[in-house]
Amino acid sequence: MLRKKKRLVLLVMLAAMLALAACGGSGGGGSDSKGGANSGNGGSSSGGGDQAAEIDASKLPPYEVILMYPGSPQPDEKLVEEAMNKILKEKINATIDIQPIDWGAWNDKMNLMFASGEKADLVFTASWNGHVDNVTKGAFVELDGLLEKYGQGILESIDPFLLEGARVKGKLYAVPTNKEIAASWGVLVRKDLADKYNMDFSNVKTLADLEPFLQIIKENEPDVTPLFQSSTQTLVGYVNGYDNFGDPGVPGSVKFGSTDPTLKYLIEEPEYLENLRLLRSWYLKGYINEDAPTSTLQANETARTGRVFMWPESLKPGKDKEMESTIGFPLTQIEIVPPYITTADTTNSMIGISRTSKDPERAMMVLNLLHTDKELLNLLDWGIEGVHYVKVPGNDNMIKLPDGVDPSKRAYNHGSQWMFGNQFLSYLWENEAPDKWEQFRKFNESAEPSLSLGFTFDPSNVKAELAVLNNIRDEFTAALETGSVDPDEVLPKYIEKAKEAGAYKVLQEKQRQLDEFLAAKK
Amino acid sequence: MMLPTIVLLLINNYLPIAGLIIAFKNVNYVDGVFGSPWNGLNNFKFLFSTRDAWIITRNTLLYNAVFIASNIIVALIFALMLNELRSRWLPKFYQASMFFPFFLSMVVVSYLVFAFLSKGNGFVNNNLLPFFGMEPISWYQEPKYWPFILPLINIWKNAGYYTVFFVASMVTISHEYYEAAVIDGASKWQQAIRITLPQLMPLVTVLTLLQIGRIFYADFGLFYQVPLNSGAIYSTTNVIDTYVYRALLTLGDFGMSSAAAFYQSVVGFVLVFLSNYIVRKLDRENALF
Amino acid sequence: MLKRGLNSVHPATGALFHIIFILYTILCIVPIFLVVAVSFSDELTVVANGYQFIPEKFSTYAYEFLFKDSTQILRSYGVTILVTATGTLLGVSMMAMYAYPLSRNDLPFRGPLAFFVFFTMLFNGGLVSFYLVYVRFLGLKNSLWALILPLLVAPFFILVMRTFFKNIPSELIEAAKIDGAGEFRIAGTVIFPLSVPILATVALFTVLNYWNDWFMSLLFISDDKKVSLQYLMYKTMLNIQYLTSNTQAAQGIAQGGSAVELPSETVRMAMCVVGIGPIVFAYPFFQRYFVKGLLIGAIKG
Repeated sequence: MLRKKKRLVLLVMLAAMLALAACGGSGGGGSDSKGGANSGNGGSSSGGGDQAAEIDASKLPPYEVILMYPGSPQPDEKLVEEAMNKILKEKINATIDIQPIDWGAWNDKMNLMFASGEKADLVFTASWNGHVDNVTKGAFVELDGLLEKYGQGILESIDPFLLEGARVKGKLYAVPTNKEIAASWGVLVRKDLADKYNMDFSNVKTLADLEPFLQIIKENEPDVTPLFQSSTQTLVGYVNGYDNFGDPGVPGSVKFGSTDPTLKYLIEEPEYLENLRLLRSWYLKGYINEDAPTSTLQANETARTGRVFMWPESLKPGKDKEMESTIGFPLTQIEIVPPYITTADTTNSMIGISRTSKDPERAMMVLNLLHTDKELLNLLDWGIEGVHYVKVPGNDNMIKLPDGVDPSKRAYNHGSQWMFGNQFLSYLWENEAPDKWEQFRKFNESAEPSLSLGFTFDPSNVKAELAVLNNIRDEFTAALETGSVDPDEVLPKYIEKAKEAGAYKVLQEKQRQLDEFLAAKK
Repeated sequence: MMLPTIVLLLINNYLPIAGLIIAFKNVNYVDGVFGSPWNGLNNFKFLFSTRDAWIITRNTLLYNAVFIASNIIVALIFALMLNELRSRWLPKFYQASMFFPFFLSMVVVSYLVFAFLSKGNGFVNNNLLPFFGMEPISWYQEPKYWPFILPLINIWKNAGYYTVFFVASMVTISHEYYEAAVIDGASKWQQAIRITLPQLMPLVTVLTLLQIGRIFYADFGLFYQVPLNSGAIYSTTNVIDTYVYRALLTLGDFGMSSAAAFYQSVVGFVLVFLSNYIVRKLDRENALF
Repeated sequence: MLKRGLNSVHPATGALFHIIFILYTILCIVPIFLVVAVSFSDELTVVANGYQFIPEKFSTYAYEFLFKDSTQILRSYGVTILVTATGTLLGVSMMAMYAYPLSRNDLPFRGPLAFFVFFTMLFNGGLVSFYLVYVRFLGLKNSLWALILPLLVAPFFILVMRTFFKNIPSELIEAAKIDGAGEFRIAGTVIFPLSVPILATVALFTVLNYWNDWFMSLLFISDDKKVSLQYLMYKTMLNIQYLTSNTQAAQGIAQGGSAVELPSETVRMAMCVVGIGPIVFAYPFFQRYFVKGLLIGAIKG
């Protein structure tokens, strides 16, 4: 009892005696740091880019750039840093300090870092990780000017949709990772089982279309769960065809592909109820794992046992092949919601510059290099050639583990590649499709931008309501969406409670902001 | 003699208390605490504005009251029983074993409970209930069982801890009292009631008062992990701490989490003050302060 | 424990007590066995078939996984042992030195002083100001002292100790004073020897507090060489909790394209075993101090 129960994550964050922090805030305000006294005018800037600064490393004072991201510390981090430093010193007289922070501690540490004014330069951020909130609180430096001067590489290589999506109230506070900009939603399926029963997925358009396949598995494979769900990974949650602007917890969504900006409350939509009823029938028929609403297992974990046939997943080209090596069984994917470019997709992985940086310009330079310098990026992503990976003979762009390296004991394998730089420059593993990046580009091009692209909701005015709604949402969603309770009985309760808690107030606030955004866009 | 502790507490605990004003502010990083605009009581709204607010308050208070009482009573009984055993080392063994659950983190406990109560594979549904001819129960979906399940788990986990205090205290009770009582012909039961218990009263009082001060705080692990965060049973497992956690997990608002902590502190403070006052009236010596 | 000759309970009652305790003991120990059993099981069979007391398929995978980086584990053991030992010795002394005067009726302001301590149990300025005090004001970021100081003094124990000290007959103190002993002397030679049970109890719990603490490492330590053992073990659990309770994060990460590796059930159990293993032996070590007789007897003499 005595152990002061420390709540994880955000709970006990109380802000600071910022008299002290205020002194630490000298980095705030962006471009007025000393680093600017570099040879900005030294080189002749070719062509019209009179804003882009030429960088003369010899004139720059040395500076260490701290890169903070969520992930596990890796044993060989120092080695990788050294290798990166060689390049960085030569180009911009900078060194890098990679600081991964465990996921479970990420939110706490980030908030403490910002609140206490501790130095940090490049920081991972995402819309689902409180980016907008942090921007409102002043955690990040505004980047437009810096991009112009030191980020030309980024501007040239990055998909403009990405930048557009990342803006908050028109200004840019973080640079998205250049990768696939859309996601489609659907399920992953065991290819071997599908083939065994000659399943043809080409006509699957809606959730209901999946039923026959589930039935086959249920009848013929007693040990296999047809559809796996957990409390955070539900079919309805993943595949509902609505854009919720990056936060399913905030009421108000728009159907993908719609041009009507009127927000709907998803749980009141007839389609939602239909889906719930469908899932309920599946649950009763035994297609779904019984402990779904309380399961803390991930689909990947259970899939590895071979006892699962299908599970919801966010998809992109080649996702099934990508997951095969983790799961250990042949997979195929069925796409149900086609790719749209939403703010959520474009902002789910970004790097911002903290206001506590002492040299934001240098930070921007490093970021720029991560988007343009193939060697540097791959060092960060995969480690040192020959030590952590070797190139596949005959293909300069594909890599595999060096002989003799045990896959479970890799010394540099953070799994966070999707957070950094320009992913199109990153090497591919030998089990991936060699043209993965081309596929991605095509995918990106084929994706429709959602009308909400670039809009992020600012919750400041409705925080109290949202706090309550979060609890209500947690109370009902998992149980309903996994089919473990009767929706006709329970959904009305959910709706009533949510309305009582102010769901409409939030919806209206969101609508107001959306309308403003759309008007400004014109 | 007392100086080092005083200094430590000043730095460790009192200095940071300035942070309490966050509960009333709308904080941003640029202005800092002193510069951030005041927010009145807005940060507290989410704690009171809904009917859930009543539920979480009720749950927190009731559960803690039950926990306090049950922990102390069970521990007392165990301690008394242990004291009566004739063997030399068996009591030590028992006491050591009782202590084991205390070591387990709530996460592990939640797995164990799941092994028991899982709908499909749990020990209870699979083995126990059929033995009595009963149907399997969906434990994690039925709120009504948890007001029994949670206290039982709490006792299981903590009884050993409190028993230690009582045993240590009993060890200091002078032998003479008992010898005198035996000569007077007192039975074991009378000895326990007339000698042991009263001697333990100061400890019981202190322990109770201390816990009353924390009555608005719940064991987060117990209420969040063990019920596996199952929404269907929130009505009997949601307490203030879990409510705030869920509310702010994605919002990340400093002011609001500070407001929640402030609320809990104030209520605990008032309650303990009252209780202490009452104890003082009854038995001055045993009051906390 | 105490041997009673004439003053014993009826054998039947005694037997009943034993039965009750045996049942309860089983209830307490059996889960530990289960945890150990699962930790030595093959991962996939556990996920597929649930927990078994006898592992269906024996495997030391979980431990191999954990001890992959055995230097790290050893280091963390070292850190934890050092911090625990220092913290306990220092802490118990400090707490006792505060509690004892508090128990004396001739101490001025003892009400307010007790309140001073108790107040800190109720009110808490919050995580960030706490962090700032340690990092900015004291400059202890990444220092082992940041792991020691916050847990050094627990008001709960101080107040409980005070109760125990009050129990000591004042005649003894008077006697010592008459003999010309100063306050420190009295404390050292009279009070503390008599208070061994409570000191041992508090020491035990302080050891547990330090041993189990992972939060301080989370907050203050960025150098992996200095993290406590529990943090090492627990941070994976934290990762799990974060990702399984935060739908937005889970979806966001899924969209972002990553599959965060979470350890299997067996590894989680193995972490538990590694984390608590040694400390389980702490209890018997302290238990022998909860023995009566010799001490009280000494007073008479």
